[in-house]
Amino acid sequence: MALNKNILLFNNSMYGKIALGLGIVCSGIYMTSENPANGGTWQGYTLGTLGALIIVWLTLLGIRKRSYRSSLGTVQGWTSAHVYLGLVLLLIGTLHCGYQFGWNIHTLAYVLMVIVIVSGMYGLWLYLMLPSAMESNRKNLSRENMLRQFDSFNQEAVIIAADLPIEIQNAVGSAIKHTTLGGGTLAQIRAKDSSRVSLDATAPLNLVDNRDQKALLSYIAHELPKPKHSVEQHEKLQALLDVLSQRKTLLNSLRLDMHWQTLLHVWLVVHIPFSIALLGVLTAHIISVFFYW
Amino acid sequence: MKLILEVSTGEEAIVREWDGKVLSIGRSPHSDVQLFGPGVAEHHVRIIADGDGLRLECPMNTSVVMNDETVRKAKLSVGNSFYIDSHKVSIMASGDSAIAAKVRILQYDDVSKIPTATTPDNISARSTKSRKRLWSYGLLAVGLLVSLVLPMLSSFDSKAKLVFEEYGLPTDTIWTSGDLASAHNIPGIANECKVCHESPFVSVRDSVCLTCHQELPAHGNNDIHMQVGEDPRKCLSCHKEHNEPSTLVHTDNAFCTDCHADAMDWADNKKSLPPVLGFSAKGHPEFKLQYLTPQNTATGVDWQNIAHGTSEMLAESSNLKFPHDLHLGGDKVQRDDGKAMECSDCHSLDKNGEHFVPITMDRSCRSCHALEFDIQAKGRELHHGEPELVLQQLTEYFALQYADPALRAEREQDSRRLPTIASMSAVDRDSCKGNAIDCARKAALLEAETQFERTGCAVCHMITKDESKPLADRWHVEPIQLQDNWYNARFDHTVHMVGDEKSETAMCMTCHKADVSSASTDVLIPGIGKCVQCHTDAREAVTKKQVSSSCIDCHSFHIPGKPMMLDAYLGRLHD
Amino acid sequence: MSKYHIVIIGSGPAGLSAAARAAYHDQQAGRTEPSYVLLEGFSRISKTIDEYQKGKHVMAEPGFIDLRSDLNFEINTRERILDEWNRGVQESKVNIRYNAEVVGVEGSQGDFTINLKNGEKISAEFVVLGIGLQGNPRKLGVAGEDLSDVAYTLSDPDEFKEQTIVVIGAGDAAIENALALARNNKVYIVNRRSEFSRAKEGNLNAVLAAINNKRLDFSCIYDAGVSEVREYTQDGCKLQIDLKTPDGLKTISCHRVIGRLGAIAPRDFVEKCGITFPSDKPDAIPVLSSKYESNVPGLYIIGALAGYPLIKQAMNQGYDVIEFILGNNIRPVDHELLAARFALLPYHRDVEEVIELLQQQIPMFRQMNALLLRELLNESDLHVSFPKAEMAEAQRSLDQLVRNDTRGRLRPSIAVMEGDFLFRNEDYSNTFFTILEGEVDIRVKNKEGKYLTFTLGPGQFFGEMSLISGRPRNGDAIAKKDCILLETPRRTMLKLVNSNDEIRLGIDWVFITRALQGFFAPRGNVFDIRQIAHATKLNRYVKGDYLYKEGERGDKLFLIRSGTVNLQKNIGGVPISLSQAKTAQVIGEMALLGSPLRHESAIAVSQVETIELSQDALNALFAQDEVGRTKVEEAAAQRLLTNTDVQTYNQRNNRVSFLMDQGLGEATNALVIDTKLCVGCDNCEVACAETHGGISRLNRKAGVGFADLQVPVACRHCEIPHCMKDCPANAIHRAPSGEVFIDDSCIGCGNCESNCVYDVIHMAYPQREKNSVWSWMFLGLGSRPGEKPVDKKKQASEAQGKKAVKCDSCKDLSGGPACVRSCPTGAAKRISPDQFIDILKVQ
Repeated sequence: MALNKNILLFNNSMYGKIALGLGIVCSGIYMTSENPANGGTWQGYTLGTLGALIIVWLTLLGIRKRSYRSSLGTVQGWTSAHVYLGLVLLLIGTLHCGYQFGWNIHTLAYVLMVIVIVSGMYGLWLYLMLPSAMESNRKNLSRENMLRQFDSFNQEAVIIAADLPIEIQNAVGSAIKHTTLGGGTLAQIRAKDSSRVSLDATAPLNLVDNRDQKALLSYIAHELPKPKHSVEQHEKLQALLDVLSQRKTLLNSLRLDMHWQTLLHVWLVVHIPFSIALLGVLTAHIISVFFYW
Repeated sequence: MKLILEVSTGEEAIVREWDGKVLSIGRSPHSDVQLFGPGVAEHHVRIIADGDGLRLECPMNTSVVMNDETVRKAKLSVGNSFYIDSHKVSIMASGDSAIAAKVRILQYDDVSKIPTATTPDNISARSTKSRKRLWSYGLLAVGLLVSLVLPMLSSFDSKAKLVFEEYGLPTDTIWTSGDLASAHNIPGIANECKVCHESPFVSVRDSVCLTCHQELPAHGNNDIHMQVGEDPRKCLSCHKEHNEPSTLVHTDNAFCTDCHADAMDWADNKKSLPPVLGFSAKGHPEFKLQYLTPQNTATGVDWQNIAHGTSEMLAESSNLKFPHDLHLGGDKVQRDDGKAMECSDCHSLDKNGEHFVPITMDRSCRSCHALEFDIQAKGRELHHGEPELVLQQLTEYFALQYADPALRAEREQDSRRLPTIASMSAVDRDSCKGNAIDCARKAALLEAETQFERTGCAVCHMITKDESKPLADRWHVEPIQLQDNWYNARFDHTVHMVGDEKSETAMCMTCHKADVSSASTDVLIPGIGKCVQCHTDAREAVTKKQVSSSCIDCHSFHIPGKPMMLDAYLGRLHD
Repeated sequence: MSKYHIVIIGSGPAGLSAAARAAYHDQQAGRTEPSYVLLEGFSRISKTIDEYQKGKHVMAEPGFIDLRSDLNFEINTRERILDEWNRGVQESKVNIRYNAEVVGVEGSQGDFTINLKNGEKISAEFVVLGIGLQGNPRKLGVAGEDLSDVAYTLSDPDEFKEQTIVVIGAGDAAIENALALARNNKVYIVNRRSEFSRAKEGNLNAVLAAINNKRLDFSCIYDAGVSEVREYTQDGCKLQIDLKTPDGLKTISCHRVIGRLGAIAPRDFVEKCGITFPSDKPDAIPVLSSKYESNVPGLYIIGALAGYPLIKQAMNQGYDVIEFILGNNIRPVDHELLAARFALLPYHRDVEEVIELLQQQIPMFRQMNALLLRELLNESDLHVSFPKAEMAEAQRSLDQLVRNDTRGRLRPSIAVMEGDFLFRNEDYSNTFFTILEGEVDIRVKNKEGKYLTFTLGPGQFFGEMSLISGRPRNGDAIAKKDCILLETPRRTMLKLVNSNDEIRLGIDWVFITRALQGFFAPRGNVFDIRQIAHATKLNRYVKGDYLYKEGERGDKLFLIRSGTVNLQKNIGGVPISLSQAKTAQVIGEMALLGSPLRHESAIAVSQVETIELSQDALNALFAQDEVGRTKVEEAAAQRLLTNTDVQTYNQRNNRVSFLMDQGLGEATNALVIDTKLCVGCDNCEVACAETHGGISRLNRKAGVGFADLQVPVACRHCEIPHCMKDCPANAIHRAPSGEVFIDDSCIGCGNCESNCVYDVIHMAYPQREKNSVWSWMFLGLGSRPGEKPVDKKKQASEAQGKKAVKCDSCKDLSGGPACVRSCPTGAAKRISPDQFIDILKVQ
């Protein structure tokens, strides 16, 4: 039991080796065909049956993952096998169809399969890349803690601004009010910063783009050197600028965190529905082949 | 150092003065400032007097967040602040020279208090999940509808199919597993699945095929090759549709070798077929050439086409005299243009590229072997192929010669000048003064003898003579027995006329050793050894860099004019 | 002055029961004038119970003992029980006097004089003292302490809503009241000190959490004392209280002041009566005869004061004591239980005689009074060994016993076969064995895999290692020919040890002797080693304490007897942990091997107990057996070796000290998350909830993280589980395989929840049967995996009351912990401290 061993390395990539062997065997079977490759030869039927079985098994991961009492291997093991068999399935499926494509449901099934596998690869990549990235982005803070921190920045900024001229107070207030973060699934993925701010105390609704809090920060930054402020006001402005810049950085890592966290969820919204659809079309594929025999 | 501690836990802030060397902050009750929260360690951070300023130090593994960096040690001066989990520690001016600084520790409020504008509405796992289910069932439904339900409907209900086609909905045609062979891809069959696939889950019956292909000659022996059980789907055992890019036909040897890998015996005949594994020196038995052989039967001699051994073992008895070596090469025989003869001068391929147009006297021989008989009458020839008329033709000719006094005188002079030729000398010897008919008969008989037994016919033909018979049919020309079909397998010459030989003839010679054949009994047909120099079966083709040949390349079925394989092999064929 | 045959003081369960019995006898005798009186200083009966919090469930422990009293009593809420008793008192016309506070008892058998507070005097021939331990509450001791809204008890916290209440005191009672009140009121808790040092660890965390909790209107005023309370009728308040605080005088106007300053212990009163105590320890119990008679003839003590905090026992004693006084030599209620317990004993004697015999034979038992011993025997199991041939016979007689016991309460003695294992090496059991007769072999495997066997004889005991360290058994115990053993549960044993100095010292001494022999001198002479043991010192440390600091001079070696110690070294100004020392390892040995300067600091990462050895003691041990020296030197060498590669594993060691800081030092099996793999799918939590009635026992997000490690809030299955500390129902157990779990007998008191340092125990309503995962997965019906089931009969399940739930490491699942097995990326791991180093070796 060691740290940082990802699912590909699980059990010395045993399932990887199995999948590789499977791939080689299947290629061998494919080679033996003297007739032009086709799903209809005995090689075709063999590969097809194998592929179908693998597909069904792969979808069973959804079941196993939720059979919490099951002692049938660990979900980690299943996932590892899921990944490798899923990859080799791409080969087996292609060999099965013998590179014959057309406007028919058989190719449809193939296309669905490819979509599922590719989305799976993407998911795998996310699973391998994101955790450590997120970890370093969060610095061991939980989302809740980050949000708390963010909130305290807001409060602090307001508190400090309280002793500063009204227009600065308004600027800070409106910046906080019109800072956007997160949103729906898509919004979180796009992680677009559409924050706005009104720098004109007289026209609070006259909002200008405040992406990355640039507008606000530069406003404060330009306020700073002005002679009209007293010494302690300068102090305050300095502190305010400090707080706001920290707030800005925090915002960014929050956005990034949401972006990633959402990706980790959302790829499944492609992967799973298409797997289910694949099951359906696969059934149709098998039935139709024997229906018009 | 003296400090003012302002620990604000929400509502009420406790402010107290503190004096000591090290200000410890952490979860432990022993620490000077006790903080709580998941991220606060037992002893989280120490603030220590450092010269005139302060510095923070994290014991053990802890760390604090300062200017958005995790730090474990840092100098602190008024204005600095750092975070411990959800607490902010700010160092502020105390406003009292005796007191180093004011340390304000402030705990954030909980998340719910974040201004609404900035509250990120978090994607809830629920919505995503339930959407997954929705999508799944949606796609599943669509998938099944398109790929199963509609096609199924259209297959059962032809009216529905029309409607679907009209609205571009999927019909059972999207079940096709590949294009039809072009021959079948015609209105009435294309897109009309049920024309062939009569009933679901039952593969196509022969009856369907035979509706069109009634008169199909079967080179393959139906009784053997198609009696695979009582299955009414024999055609399918060799023919596959929707199978592009391959042809309609199964080409792989397995279809033959599955049975033929073992030797086979046939009850009605002692012959047995040796095992065949494929087309290779080892995998395929030596060819058995077949040619017409006289068989003595009750009724007399019956020529039967029987497979014998290899060419070396055979001597052909065609009743024809033709030394190939003499004609080829050019030193003895030349064409009119003086060049050596080519094979194609006599042998010209017929259209199927397998056999040759029969050789005739007129086309191939007469140019050299003219049937002249009277030296004084150049160009006058005997009829070819009508031996019984030869004597009559001669008699008539000489009758004319002797009946006309002018001709007769001329002939007498000439016979003195000219070197005597057989007939005339005889006539002169007898100083034929008798009537013309007698003389003519004499001369004709003499000449016929000469033609049949020495010059003319005897050059190419076998002649038998029967003194007992009347003059008219005393001589008999044996009939030509030429083998036109040595193999019962197919062989296409055209595709084989390739190679780096200079001349076409040389190319023929690579297989047919005509240049060294002095007798017409030689059989010039090559054995398998020749073929396997270039050909082998698919298994080895790649490795041996040879041409891959499958069984049906030679033993193809449904060839017009071919005998059934087995009959041919067993010699059940009659000409 | 009125005169009675018997005067019963205190109307607690014991007193009441006694009075009821006396009343019964009067009735039998047809007396018109009661021959006894029951004196109660309070205006109602059973003050202590009366002051329980409203609706508190009162348990009828111990289950196996019958109730023998004229009053009824069974598990129920405080109210119902009090009603029932009041009814009983009425029915049997118990002669009870309220508000009659006794200030002193004089005289002796035949003529006692009882002085009441109001100066009245009562004379009696016999006095029964049932005043319990509660004593009278200590008052504020300032002006206004007796104002109507200044209370010293709180029976129903829900009585008050939207009020400002000041609770004074920092003990458990104060904290519990304050927390209960804080649900509906603004509460200040006034603490005389700067921290809650007197509180139970659980309550301590609870109150600190509350102080921190923004949602609660709960604040604490430290270092504050009350200077005055006065009427104050403005802005809806009734009182105003002045507090002396470091920041000056602080005045709070409030509705109510509750003083929880503890009670004036009854001990001095009791001593005034001439009763003597065996020791000065506050929890010492007066010496009593087996008939509850104290050293003052005719003066009897029953109930809590006699060492019987449990209501049922007290009531039984009340009954018995009257019978004794009236000269009826009845048998105690547990008689038949003990008879059954002694069933297989070779000598056929009366229970009482057996007990006396045991008390004479077993040195440890001589320290206890007859009553304590009885209790011990009641709660322990008795093993008797038989040769193979006789086993069947013995077993048959036992079955017979059980069959005849219609009510199934009997726990007869247990027959073991000669040569059978009583426990095996590495078993996670922690009972305590006393040898009454015969012999037992203890086999310990040494490094070379050879067995060292010690034979223990009558009067000796074993199993104390696990009892004290909470570690698995070290060695096998094998029963020999005709041996008789007493197996005492840990809980009972600890109670005994804490209440009886002699026994504790005795056990400690033997423990130390054996520990020393085991570690230093396996072949040494036991008697000499006992002498050496005297020269050693037992130290206790709390988490975070230093055993010694880097750089200081040391002349001591520590043999750890429980807990885990983190050794760390200061490298480049950063403390790096070198390694951890656990039970039965020595640290600080270098100081005695020639380099007195400590090269590392030793910090307790859990409760730690050590045996401290001086140079002389060590030398003495080395003299006993040269193995000791080699062993110590070996240990030293090993440690030095590991220290060398510390720099290279700098990161790793930070991680280790992080884990230590998270309390994994005292863990046996803790959940750790590898954040480099965790995708935050929370399948671990879901799996946990799904395998545990819809309530997850772990909280991943709330866990603290460091580097690529995160320690979720989940049970660590501590070596000495804090949660086990006081479980009245004894519902928390440790499986032989090590998992700490709560069984169904939980009565939802919440002690474990508050005792757990890592707040991994929750109180939760029992959950309905949950809808299957599949109906949700395929149809979206019911609650999602991990969610609480949709409970239509909510009331029904809530009526059963909350119960404590915690991780049981899925001990009942064949595959092991579901959280780990359901992690798709393998981020979730369960590790024990021994694995830290291996695990963290990566990088």
